[in-house]
Amino acid sequence: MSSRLALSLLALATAAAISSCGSAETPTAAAPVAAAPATPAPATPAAPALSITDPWVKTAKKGMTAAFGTLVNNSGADVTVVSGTSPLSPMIELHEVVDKDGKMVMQPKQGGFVIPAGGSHELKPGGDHIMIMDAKEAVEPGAEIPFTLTFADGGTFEFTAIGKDFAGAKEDYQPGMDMEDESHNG
Amino acid sequence: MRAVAALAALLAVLVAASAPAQAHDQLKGSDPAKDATVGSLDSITLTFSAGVRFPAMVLHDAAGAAIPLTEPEVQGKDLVAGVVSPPAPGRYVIGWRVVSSDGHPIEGEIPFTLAGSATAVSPGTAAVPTAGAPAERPAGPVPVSAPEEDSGGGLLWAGGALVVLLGLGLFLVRGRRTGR
Amino acid sequence: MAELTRRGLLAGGVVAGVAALTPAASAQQARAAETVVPFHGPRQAGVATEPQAHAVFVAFDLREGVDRDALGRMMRLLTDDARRLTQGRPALADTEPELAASPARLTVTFGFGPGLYAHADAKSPVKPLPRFSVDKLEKRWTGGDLLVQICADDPLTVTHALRMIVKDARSFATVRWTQRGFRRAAGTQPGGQTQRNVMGQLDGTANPRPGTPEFDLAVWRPDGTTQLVVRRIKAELETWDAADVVAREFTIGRRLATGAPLTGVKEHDAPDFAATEAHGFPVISEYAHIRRAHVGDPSLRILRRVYNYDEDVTAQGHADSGLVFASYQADIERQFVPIQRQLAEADLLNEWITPIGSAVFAIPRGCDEKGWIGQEVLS
Repeated sequence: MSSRLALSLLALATAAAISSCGSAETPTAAAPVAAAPATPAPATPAAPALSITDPWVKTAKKGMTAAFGTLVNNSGADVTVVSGTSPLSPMIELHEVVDKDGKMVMQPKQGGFVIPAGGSHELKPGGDHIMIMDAKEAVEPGAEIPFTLTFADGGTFEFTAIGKDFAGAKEDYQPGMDMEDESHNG
Repeated sequence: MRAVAALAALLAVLVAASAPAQAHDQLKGSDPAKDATVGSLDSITLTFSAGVRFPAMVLHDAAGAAIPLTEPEVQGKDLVAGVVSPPAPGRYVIGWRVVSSDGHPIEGEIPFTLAGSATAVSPGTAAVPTAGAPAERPAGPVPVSAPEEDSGGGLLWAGGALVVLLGLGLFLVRGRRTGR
Repeated sequence: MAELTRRGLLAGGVVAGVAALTPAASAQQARAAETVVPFHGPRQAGVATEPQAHAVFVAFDLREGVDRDALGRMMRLLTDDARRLTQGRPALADTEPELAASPARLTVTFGFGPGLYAHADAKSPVKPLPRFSVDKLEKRWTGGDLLVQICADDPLTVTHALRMIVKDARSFATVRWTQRGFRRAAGTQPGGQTQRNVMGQLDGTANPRPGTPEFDLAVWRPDGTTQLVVRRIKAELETWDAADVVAREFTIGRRLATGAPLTGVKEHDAPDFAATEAHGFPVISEYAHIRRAHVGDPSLRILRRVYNYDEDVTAQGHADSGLVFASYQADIERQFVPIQRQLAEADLLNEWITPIGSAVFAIPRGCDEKGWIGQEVLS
C-alpha cells in the first residue's frame, strides 16, 4: 500500500507539473487528448493510451463520494477498467446507476468500464462513476486527489481529480445527506 | 387683434422659458451698490436671496486691469471679499459668479465709482436696468454665452433680451430631447 | 423575399427580436453570441477589453481559517471556471452546460483586496482609500477580500458565470456584496464611442485609449498587474432633474448634447481651462467636474470602466440609480486618490452624486493555460 501510495504521489506531482489544475484543459471535445492532465504512468509501459478529461471528485467531509470525468481510449483496442484505488480510501468501486422498478439505484458495474477503441466513456453524476466508499479524510474543494485505475490486462493508469463542490449526485450513493453541511471552510 | 394674440402667445412662451430662472438665487444688493459713489473701499459685500456656493469675484478698474481681492467668503447670504490695498479713485466694476443653491450659475457686474479729487465722476455710462443682469459686454459673440445669458436677471431684463431668451428656450428644449 | 422582409419589418415593431427571422440578422446575432475574448495572457482580460454591455461585480469575505493553501485551491477552481466559460465551454461539473455556449465576450477578472493578502500572510499592494468628505459609505457596498468582475454582452451569460463562480467560491468565502451594472446593449452604438451614463452625460471621454503607450503607462504595471477601485455612486436624480441645461453644463464643463468642452466644438477637443468669458471668469469653472478631474500627465490618468445601475423605483417613484464606478490604474495612491481628493474638495457635481460604496483591489497578472490567477501571490 505504501509503495502504491508513493507511486500515486509521484504521479500526482507529475500531473501537477503538467497541469496546475487537476482538471484537464481541453479546448474542445474533439481533441481531448492533447491537454490531458495525466498520461499513462511511465512505470507501466504496457498500459494502453488511456487518458481522462475533466476529472473531478465531489467534495465530502468523509465517507462516501464519487469521482467523474471522461475516459478516452486513444488506442486501437478496447480497454476495460476493472478496479480503482486512491490514497483517499481503501475501498473504491466502479459503479453504475440503473433503473430498478422505476427507482434509480447504484450498483457495482459488472465487468468494469469498457472504453471502446478510439472512443470514450463518460463518468458522470447519475451514470457510471468511480465510487469512493469510505473516504478517510475530507475532500476539500480544489484538492487534487490521485487515482489509479487498473485494466483487465493488469496495466494501470493514474490521474488526478480535483475536488469540486457539487449539490447533485446524491440520490444514488449518499441518501439523506445534508449537502449544505458538506462544504468545507478551506 | 391677431398681432396682439401673437404677442400674448410669445409672452407666454417667454415666461415659460424663463420660469426656471425664477428659482435661482438672485443678487439682492451690494456694498458698494450699483452705480454708487463711495468714499472708500476696504471690502466688497454682495447679498443674495439665499446662501450661494463656489463664489468667484473680480474687481476691474476702468482700463480693465484687475485689482487684487482676497478669496471671496460666503457668510450666510453674504459674499464678502477684502480689497488687498486701497485702490486709486476712479471707476470700477465688480464681476461676480456664484452657484445658486439649485446648482445654476449666476453672475453679473456691478459698476461703481470710488470718489477722489483726481477723477471726475460720471455715473450712468455703464448702467444696466437691474442688479445681477449682465452689463456691457463685447458686441461680438461670446463663445460660452449660455451661463451668462440666464443670470437670474428677471422678466424685465428678459423682455429686453427677447431674442436671446427665445434662442435659449429652443436650446433647452433641444437639449432635453437629445438628452433622453 | 421582399414580401418576407416587409412583413418582418412590420412585425418588428410589435415583437422584439423578430428581426432574427432574416438570415443575415440571425447570423449576425449568432456571431455576437459566439464572440470570445481570450482568457490567457500576461494581463487579465476585462480591463483593456472594450466594456461589455452587462456586468456584475461580486465581492467576497474570506471565511475564517482560509489560508494560503486554501486560497490556492480556490483560485485554481475559479480560474478553471473562468478559462472554460469565457471560451464558451461549460465549467467543470456545470449543471447548466448549455448556458456556456454563448460567451458573448465574457470576461472574468479577479481582484485581491487587502484582506486576502492578510489571509495569505502577504503584503498587500493596495490599501483602503482615505475617507473623502463627500463619502456616505454604506457597509453593504464597501470593502471585500476577493472581487470577481464578470462582464458580457449577454445578461444570461453573466448570470451563469456568476452562479458558477459563487458556487465554487462559497466554501472559502461569503458574498459581501453584488453590484450589477449595464451599459448600452451591444450594437446600440459603435464600439469605442463614449457612452452616456444614467445622468445623461458622456462618461469616459478623457479615458486613455487601449493600445496606446499612454494606456499601458496609466493602467498597467510592468509585472502585468493593475489596481481597481470600485465605488458605488448614487445619482441624485430627483434634484438633478431640477438642474437645467445651463447648470448641468456648467457643472460638468461640457455640452450635454455633444460632450464637447465648453471651450470646444467636438467631444474630443481638448478643454481650454485658461479661456475666460466676458467677466474674466474661466469658461470652464474652477469647480467644473472636468477641471477637477483633469490630469495633465497622461501616466497619471485613470481608466474609467463605468457601468450604470438602476435598482427598484421607490413607492414614491424615486429612482435608485447611479454608477458602479470602476477605475483601473497602475497605482491607486498616485493616480486615483489625488483625483478623488480634488473632486471631493470642490466638484460642482458633488451636489448630485453621493459615493455610497468603496473598495480597492489589486488585479493580479494574467496566466497561461497551465497557470492560475494569483499563482505568483499564493504559491
